[in-house]
Amino acid sequence: MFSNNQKISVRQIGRLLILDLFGVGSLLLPGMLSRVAGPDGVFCILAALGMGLVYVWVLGKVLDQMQEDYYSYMKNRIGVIGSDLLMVFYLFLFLLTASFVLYQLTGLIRAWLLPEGGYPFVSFLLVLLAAYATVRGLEGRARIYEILFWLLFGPLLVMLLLAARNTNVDYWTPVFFTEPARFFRGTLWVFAFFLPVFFVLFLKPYCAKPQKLKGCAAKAMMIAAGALAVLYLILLGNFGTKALSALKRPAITLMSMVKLPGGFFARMDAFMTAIWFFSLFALMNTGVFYAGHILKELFHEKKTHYSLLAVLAGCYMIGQWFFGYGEAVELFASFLMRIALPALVVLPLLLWLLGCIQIKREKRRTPHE
Amino acid sequence: MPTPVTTSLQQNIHNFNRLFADCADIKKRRMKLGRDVKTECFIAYVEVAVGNMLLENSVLGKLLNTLWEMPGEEILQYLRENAMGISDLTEYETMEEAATGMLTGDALFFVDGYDRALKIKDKGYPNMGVKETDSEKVVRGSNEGFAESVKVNTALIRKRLRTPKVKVREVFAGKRSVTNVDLVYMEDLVRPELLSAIEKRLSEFEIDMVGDSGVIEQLTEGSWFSPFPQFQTTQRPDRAAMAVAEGRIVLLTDNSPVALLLPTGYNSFIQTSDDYYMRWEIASFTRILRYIASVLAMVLPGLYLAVTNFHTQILPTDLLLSFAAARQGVPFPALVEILIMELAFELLREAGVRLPGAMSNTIGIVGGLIIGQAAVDANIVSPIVVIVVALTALCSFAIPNEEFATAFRLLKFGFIFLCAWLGFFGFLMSMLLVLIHLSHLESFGIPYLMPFVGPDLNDYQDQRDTLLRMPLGWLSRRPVYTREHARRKLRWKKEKE
Repeated sequence: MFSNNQKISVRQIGRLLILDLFGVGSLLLPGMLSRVAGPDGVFCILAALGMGLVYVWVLGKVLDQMQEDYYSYMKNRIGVIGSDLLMVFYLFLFLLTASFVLYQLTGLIRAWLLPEGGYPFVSFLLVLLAAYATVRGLEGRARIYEILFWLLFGPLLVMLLLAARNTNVDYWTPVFFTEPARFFRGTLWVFAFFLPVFFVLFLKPYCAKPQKLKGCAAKAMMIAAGALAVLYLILLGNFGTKALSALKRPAITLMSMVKLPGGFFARMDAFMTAIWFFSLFALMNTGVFYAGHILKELFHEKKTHYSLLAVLAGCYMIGQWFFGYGEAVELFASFLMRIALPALVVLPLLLWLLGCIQIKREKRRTPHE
Repeated sequence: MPTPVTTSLQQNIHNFNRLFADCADIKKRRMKLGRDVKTECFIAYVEVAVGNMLLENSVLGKLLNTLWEMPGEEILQYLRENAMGISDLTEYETMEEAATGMLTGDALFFVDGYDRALKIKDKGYPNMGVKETDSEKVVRGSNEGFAESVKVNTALIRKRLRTPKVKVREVFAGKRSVTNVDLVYMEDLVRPELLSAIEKRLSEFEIDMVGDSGVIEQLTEGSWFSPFPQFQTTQRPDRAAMAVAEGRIVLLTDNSPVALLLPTGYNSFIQTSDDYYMRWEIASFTRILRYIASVLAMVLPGLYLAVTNFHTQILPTDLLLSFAAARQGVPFPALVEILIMELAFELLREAGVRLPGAMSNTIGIVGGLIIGQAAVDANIVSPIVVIVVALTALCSFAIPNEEFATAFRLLKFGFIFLCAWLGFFGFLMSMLLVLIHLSHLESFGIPYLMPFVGPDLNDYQDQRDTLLRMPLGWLSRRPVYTREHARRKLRWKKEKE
């Protein structure tokens, strides 16, 4: 009746996007931003939000032109070979994203929850969990995060309010002292963490109200950026620029410092890790889902799960590579900033422009026919 | 090939005796009717199921008395013209149909020269009658419980919903038991696709015997491997009537006091009848308690293991020291302690269920006082573990539906093992596994987690009756189970000032 129609609501997409954008960003960005921009980091977030909204506008234009799914849209614009090549690029990107998040999630678990757990073992369990979640389909995945949203953000809000009591606002200054190049780099980093918003291009066929997808993406980005900005200010106010720069996962460190009234719990870090566990898992799962989906499309797979198996195996192996090869993360960051980011911005723009030209040509042709 | 009922009584008796050879419980009587005592007839019935056939207050008695006082030649004419007019009387053309009819607990009546068998309603099979429910106790509201006869149960629902829009569709299940299964629904509220779905599923299997609604439940549910029930069960006619008024279908099975309600979901299992009879504040408070209880019944022992074995930093030092002091002298690891107490508790529960009523109280005393205290004194388990297990048990008892509580009881062991193995990571993994499962589970096309997911499908109205039970005046819409455009259930006759 309501289920198994392979459609998810705008509310579900919004919540998924917020978790995708906020999860890994809140874990890694504060330290990175503090290193390059210090107190100006919050302005980097705002500037990145501006860029992100422009990007969403471009995505919205593509969505408006899209009749079926993104793959068919690309085929109409640049032909089968071109679209297949782009799909391979997207596949690679989704796979890398999922693997990087798997690496981060495993690191998080080993650092805060299971120090004695070996990397291969923990990541294997996570891959198994991702397999189960992905096999259950898009609707199930959307429902999980619809439910979890307030269960995760409610406690986070309380903890942030409690942490805000110890904020030293002196640490928020001085502002506007960051060199433009460093400020721009910080802004680009934040923008890179907002890139998962391009998932909406693949979501159109699954959305119950596709016309609202653009607004939903913009809203999700604004909420995620707002939450990141608040978190950054609280972290900055609690640790100061130098300490914040030195911390690997400052948000969780902050959670370990917050004292709950009543004194029943001494530290909440283990409990609060759940927020990042679920939100990172959401992003990883999204990556696995779309990578599997693209592989299925490319190989015209119907009922089997071979594509998913291949993606999961790939994800696990690339995750191992991140763990074992010291420079892997830097290589990934370099790929993300130099290739993926420009490509993800330029591709939809080009496709949209091509679409506009095609539409104009067709309009010109129509009166003569 | 069915055997037709013929005009020859001799032939009919022969056919009947062939069908019911070696059936000592089937009583057969030959009589002669009419003022002239010439018209032969034959009555058959299941012993005990039919009372004194000569009694004036039974249909059979009245009919026989009428036929006795009638001239012989008018009897057939009378039956032809009035048979269908006599209440509680059914005509059969074949012997097999007639036999099945008689086995529902009524008398079968053959008259020489008449080519139909007549089934005449009598008191039916013995059953326990309407009594108070053992489970689903309420603070306020009716205490009437379902009986074991499907007809009585249908009447108990109709008593509460006196509208011709309540429809009862009868099907038979069980090749040998030929058990009546009644589908009760509100014609203008039920989703037609829901009705077709359950009818289709009922027609998809053939089984020897349907002893209880549990058989139907297991054979018609979508996910066989889920620990969560996909039908809601109830023994309360008021709960069932409420479900019918919400556009749901109530499935009643003969010989079972347990009705099945469909579709269902997590939220429905947490609701009780008296949630709607009591003021909204206390109803909401108890509802929240039940939600918390449903989660704690599953996670509490596992969480205890994760915290005490892996993440002791969570607890304040004083509390941690008192935990450690309580565990001093206990030779087993915490996992074994928990398992010993949980298994002991499950054994007590099982023993309590199987023992006769008066003795089951003794089990409580034996379990609570003797085993618990003795285990602590003998240093087999620490007092804190007893508290954790007792609290978990309390939580599982607070879940209003036994079948639903069972799912948490079973999953609790999964949590225990994963938390003992992987600490809080195991806890998070288990939670995610359960969530993934629940988010995919559905009951007849309705997501199990509705209205926590997809509340927009009913304009967010269903959320008013979830964690909080909003004031009754605000619950003006039926839930999403009802067909669209028929969801208004409360109207104010004039605008409130």
